[in-house]
Amino acid sequence: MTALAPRDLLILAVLADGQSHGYGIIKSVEDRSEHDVLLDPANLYRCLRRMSADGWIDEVEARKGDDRRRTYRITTKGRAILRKEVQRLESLLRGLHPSLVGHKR
Amino acid sequence: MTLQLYRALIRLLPRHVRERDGEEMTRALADQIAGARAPRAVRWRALIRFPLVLALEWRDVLLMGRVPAPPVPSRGSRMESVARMIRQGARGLARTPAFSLSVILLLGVGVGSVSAIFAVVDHVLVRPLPYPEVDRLVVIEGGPHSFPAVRDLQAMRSIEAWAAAWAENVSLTGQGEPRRVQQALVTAGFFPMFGARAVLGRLLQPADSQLANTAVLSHGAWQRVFGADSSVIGSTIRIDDAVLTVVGVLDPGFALPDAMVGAHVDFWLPVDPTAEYMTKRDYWMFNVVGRLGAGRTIAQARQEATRIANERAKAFPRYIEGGRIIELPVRTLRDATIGKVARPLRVLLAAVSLLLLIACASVTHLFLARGVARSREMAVRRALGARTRSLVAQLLIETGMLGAGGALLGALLAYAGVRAFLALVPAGLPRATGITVDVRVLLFAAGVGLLTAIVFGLMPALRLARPGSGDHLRDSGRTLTQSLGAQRLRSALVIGEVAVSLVLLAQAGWLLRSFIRMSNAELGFSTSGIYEIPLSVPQPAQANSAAVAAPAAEWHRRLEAIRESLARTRGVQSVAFGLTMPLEYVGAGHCCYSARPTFAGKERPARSSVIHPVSAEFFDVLAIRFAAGEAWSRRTLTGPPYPAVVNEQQAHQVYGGAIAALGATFVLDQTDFRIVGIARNSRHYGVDRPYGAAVYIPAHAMPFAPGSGTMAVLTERTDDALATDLRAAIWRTEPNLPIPTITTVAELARQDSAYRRFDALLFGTFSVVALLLAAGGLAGTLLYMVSLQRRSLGIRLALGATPRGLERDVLTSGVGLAAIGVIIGTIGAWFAGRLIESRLYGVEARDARTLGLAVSVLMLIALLSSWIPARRAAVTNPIESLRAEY
Repeated sequence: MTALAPRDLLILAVLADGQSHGYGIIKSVEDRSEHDVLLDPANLYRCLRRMSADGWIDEVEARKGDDRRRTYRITTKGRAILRKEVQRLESLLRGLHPSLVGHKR
Repeated sequence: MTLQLYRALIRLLPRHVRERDGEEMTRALADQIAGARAPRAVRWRALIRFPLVLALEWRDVLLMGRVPAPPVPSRGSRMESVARMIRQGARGLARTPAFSLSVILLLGVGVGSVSAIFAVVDHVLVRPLPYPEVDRLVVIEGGPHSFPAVRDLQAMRSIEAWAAAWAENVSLTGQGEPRRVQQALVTAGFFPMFGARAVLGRLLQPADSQLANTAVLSHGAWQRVFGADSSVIGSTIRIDDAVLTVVGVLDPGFALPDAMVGAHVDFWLPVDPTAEYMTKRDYWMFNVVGRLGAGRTIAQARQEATRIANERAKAFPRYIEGGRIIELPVRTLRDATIGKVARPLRVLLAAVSLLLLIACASVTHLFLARGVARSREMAVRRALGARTRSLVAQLLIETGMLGAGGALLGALLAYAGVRAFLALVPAGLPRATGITVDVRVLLFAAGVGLLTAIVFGLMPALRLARPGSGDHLRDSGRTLTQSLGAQRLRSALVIGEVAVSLVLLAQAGWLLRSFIRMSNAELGFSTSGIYEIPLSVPQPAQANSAAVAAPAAEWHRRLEAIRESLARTRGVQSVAFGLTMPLEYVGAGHCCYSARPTFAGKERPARSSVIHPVSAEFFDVLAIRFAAGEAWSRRTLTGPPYPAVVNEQQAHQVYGGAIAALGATFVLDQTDFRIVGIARNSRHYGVDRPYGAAVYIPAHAMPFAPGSGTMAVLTERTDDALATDLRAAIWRTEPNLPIPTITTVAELARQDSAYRRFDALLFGTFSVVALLLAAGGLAGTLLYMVSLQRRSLGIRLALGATPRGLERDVLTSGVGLAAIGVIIGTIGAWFAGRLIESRLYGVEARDARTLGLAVSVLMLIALLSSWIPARRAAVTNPIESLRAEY
């Protein structure tokens, strides 16, 4: 499978920890990437639209009485994609590791 | 604020996106801003990244056809159908790439060139000069004025405020290598009048004039010379032996008043009204601007200026030159600044508009040709129930898209065009700094692009949408031979194109001829292997007025020492110096020394002569030939009377001939001279300046010290080290002398004709493009005619016409069209010739030979472009063409 964009990977990872609304996703992505990936609403919602069209995430109906923010949660398909991507990255790192740390094994 | 803007941006998104996520996006942004440590960065990011998403969403909708699942309800269906039409139009245009690209290219070239020239014209001519009360600012011409003359002017009651300024080249020492800088001496009223502000420190104040030891830096000089160091305020600088305290830096946005101080100034100094030269009526240097009082008119100012001119002429005979009073014309600052270029720029704009017109005609050709193909499509759609309105809307959208493409390309070309224009335009275009492609120009390009596309593309296209055009469906292709209206329109377009091309071609021919004339003009001196080095040799500050003769001798001694040092440089054959050298100063001003010598036994001449103090080698180095007698040499240099040379003009003016003048004596500034040679006339002040009376005197007989001089070095060397060697030679004798430029005389001659080359180049380019477009139009039209008439040609062949006869017919109709165009064009060129009259040199305006040549070139091209279609007609196969359906 092809690699995920860091942004998509981060969004999936954030949602894997629990459902979140737009601003929450922006904030968590920022924290997790140590301020490396900074999202703006336009791009974020474009991503979210694509992911939900592909069935990676779901929109959760806003609860009555609470604030009306729409929240997103990861689907089973999304978790599978995330897991595969993490495995891919881990094996990639394993492949790199020897050359990085030299002979020590 | 940001949120409102963001909401507005969201409204631009496709509807399904907007309705689904718009509110959420705004809310997320609000939360993000509220929770951010650097809200500005968040806002900025959100806004700057928006357009890309916007573009992507629309791309999805338009090109990929990715319209969302929920089907469109009734509201907003118009937008959706427009989107559909755009999609449809884009697909249609993509199906005929050659057509679409040709239209965009033609429009782009036309719009681009017009926009580029528009950018220049808009900046230079249209925009008001950026000064307060600019409509009331007037220039008192007839100058430059001496300071006492400036004082005379202050009697004018219609003027409420004055500013006088004078710019010159000086040396800045003590900041690295000595360098030449431009300083402007200004009166206290100068900065307030032009609304200047300081970015650092302060500007000059009236009190500065008393001490005259302060200076204000231009923003450029502050950055270049002082590295934008703000501690420069309060420090001292050294300009031409004067020590000055820097008090401020001028606002970078300050637009120099070209009419006052030229296009470049580094340092601004206060005028010292107590200085000795300020009291003399003979030092003519100031340019003067006044502000009319409220309610006063320029006519009143003119009256007062005339009165002052008359009064001062009575008091001082120096204000009478050649029997005429030196007048004091009053013009608006605007006039004085752009008056000279207004007409040439408008001519340029007119020429480039003609080019646009030709491009438009070609676009119309293309639309006409395409229209035939489209007419079937339209008929089919009409038959399927499409209404006229939606067909028109469809055509409108298509041409609009092409127009937008043309405008976009035009904007890019305009950007390149302005840069090319500024790179090529000769120095001296006022307000040239700051010409850019700005929003106004972009709007202009967009407007012209869309308008031309719609007018020239839609008009032919609309014929298709007319209900009657459905007949095409019924009649197969047969009616096409009868679409007489389109045929007439095409012919008219070709005639127009040919006519306009001829106008441009004739102008280009005239300008080119005058450029060639000028390049080959007899200068009267040699230009090969001569390098000119202008030097400033200011008087030492301690020179006191007790030793009046000393400064002149000192001037001569220093230049002579430099001359000898240069002459010893490897490969240098000979070196001369003089106050000025040929082509060093060009144009109307006769720098730097003119006077009226008294020739023995003759009346004092009415007009003054230019006096050239030169060293003995001058005539040799510049290869100036003699009509009679010869130059003085160092051996014959005794006196008084000192030997002198006059030019033929002077000899004829005073003695009626060269031989008669030989041996005569004259007095100049109480010094006696004897004429030993009559030099041939030369174009010292520029190729297109008339010969004036000139007198050459030995430099060492110079009666005063002018503060500058120019070396002329004759050498066969052209290597890179030459300039370094020459500089080193000068610095050996004068270590503190800045050396601004070492220029060949050939280069100066080239610069002198720069604007003629510019004219010829620009008009030449325009006319070649116009010619190509016209030729294309003619060939296209004839080809199209032939292809439409294949059926009738076939019938004629079948009835016994010869191929040769058909060929001749097509040729005749092509050449006939061109001939009509040429006749109209000749009349047009005749009138247009007057517009460029003033820019011609050595060529009669409307010179008939050039016009004839242009006509022949055009007819030849018309013949060539008719020939291919004619061949096509001649090889028509009757059977095939009879069978041929459209």
